[in-house]
Amino acid sequence: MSDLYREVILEEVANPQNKGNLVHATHKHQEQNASCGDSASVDVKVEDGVIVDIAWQGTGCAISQAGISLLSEEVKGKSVAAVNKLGEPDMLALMGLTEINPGRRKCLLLGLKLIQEAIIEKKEKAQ
Amino acid sequence: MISQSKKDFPILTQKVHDKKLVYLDNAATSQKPLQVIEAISTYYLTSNANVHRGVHALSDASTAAYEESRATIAAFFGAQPDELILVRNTTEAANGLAYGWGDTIINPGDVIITSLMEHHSSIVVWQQLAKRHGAQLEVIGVSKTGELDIDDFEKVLKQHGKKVRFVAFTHVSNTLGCVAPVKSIGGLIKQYAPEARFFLDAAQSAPHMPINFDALHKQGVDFMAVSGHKMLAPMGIGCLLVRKELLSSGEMQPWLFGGGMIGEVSPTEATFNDELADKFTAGTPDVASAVGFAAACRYLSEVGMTEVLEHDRALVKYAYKKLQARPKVTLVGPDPEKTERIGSVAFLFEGVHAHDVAQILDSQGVAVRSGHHCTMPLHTHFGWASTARASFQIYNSTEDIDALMEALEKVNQIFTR
Repeated sequence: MSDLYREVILEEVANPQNKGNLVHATHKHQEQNASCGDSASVDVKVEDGVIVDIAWQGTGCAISQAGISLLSEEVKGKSVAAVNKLGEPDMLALMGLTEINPGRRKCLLLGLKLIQEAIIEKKEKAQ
Repeated sequence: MISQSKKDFPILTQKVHDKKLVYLDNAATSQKPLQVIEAISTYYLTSNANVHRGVHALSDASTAAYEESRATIAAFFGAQPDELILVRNTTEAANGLAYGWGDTIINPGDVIITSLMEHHSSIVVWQQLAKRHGAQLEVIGVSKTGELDIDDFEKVLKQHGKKVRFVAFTHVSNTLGCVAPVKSIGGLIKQYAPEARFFLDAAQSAPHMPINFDALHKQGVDFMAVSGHKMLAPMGIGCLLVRKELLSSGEMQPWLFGGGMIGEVSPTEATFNDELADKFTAGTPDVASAVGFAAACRYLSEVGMTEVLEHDRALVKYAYKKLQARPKVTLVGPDPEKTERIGSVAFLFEGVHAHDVAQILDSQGVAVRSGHHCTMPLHTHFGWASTARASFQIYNSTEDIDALMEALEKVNQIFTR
């Protein structure tokens, strides 16, 4: 736990990056953490398979909010394919953590799920 | 002696994160005393066999243990053994009630009344029951002080009158701690919808206060549900109490079918067991958990439920006062100095999500619940994303609440930048 509330995470919560909406979003998605009452939404602008802009809104715990914020900055300029490959180890690394307790796993992964679900093409979703 | 009870709960002597464990998540589940754990292991070490099936010595021992346990549990709640249906927990009790009673009685256009503060284990069941039969679900609101809005209830009863067939309220709210005014509710039902049946969810009241089903049904209660695991018994055992007339008249029907509950079975038909207790017990019951549940009832009887209630009241008042005095903390639910409040105190910490509060408290050894506590409609109504909740049992003391307050300082330190 002493690691969980490190300065970088608290700083991210106090000054979140990319918060807001995009006017010309190509992809939108909303996620809820039913067991926490957390919710978050994201607007993504994809051009030629690359994330060119991203904005998000949401409320939740420090872990989920810092996670979304850090990830939103991380994915800018990355290809959709590369972002789809990101997983739990990447989120831990991004947050500067070595592990997460089971009760907080969903918080850690909320941002990843949010962004990955957003950029999945509609035809893929239908399959 | 309640002050000596902690020694009966060895699990509480451990350390978590190198800190003394302070367990304040009792509304989720309580710990189990040695007496309960030993009763379960003694059953498996000496008496395990299937009940009512064999004629051999062990089957007799197991049947006797099961029957004695049923009698002990029923007596603890002031009910007759025939009125007791053992189930896994409150959730299963509510579902059983919906299938066994609701599916027979509820018709299109009937009205089912419940409230905004109900646990999902209750409200979701009535939503589904209403959907299955085209009934209308009315959800009673919560007053500004965090209690059942009894005026709203009367208004809805007046509006629908005899179309109201079922009323389901929690006895004690797991989030607000408020206590339902059972007598007033029963009186209003009698006045406006005398045919309606009244279900009381006692999951959060049974662990903390004397319950007498006989006295409750004189006030209008027809059904009551309890989870054993919140009152020192093992997980996986609880009960649905049903007023005997509703069982013997056939208004309440079995909802699980199989061995043990039958009378005679032909290739295409079956009759059900005349014995009410058997009619509602299909399949091999969880005898060991019933034995554990009875041991918990005996344990609590020895402490005395009046003493248990006084102890809980004192802890709730102490915790409420301490938290109220703490900057950045907002309590939810009624002030226990002004109105009865049982079992728990839930609160918001300014600027810090409840999960973060709970995580930091855990790092200090203090276990509390965070989230919506399975009362999402209530949390949404008041705009609480998530609350933290400290809840009590007989082994808790004011020292535990002091530890909670000290740990909250840590929350403040981490999030004050």
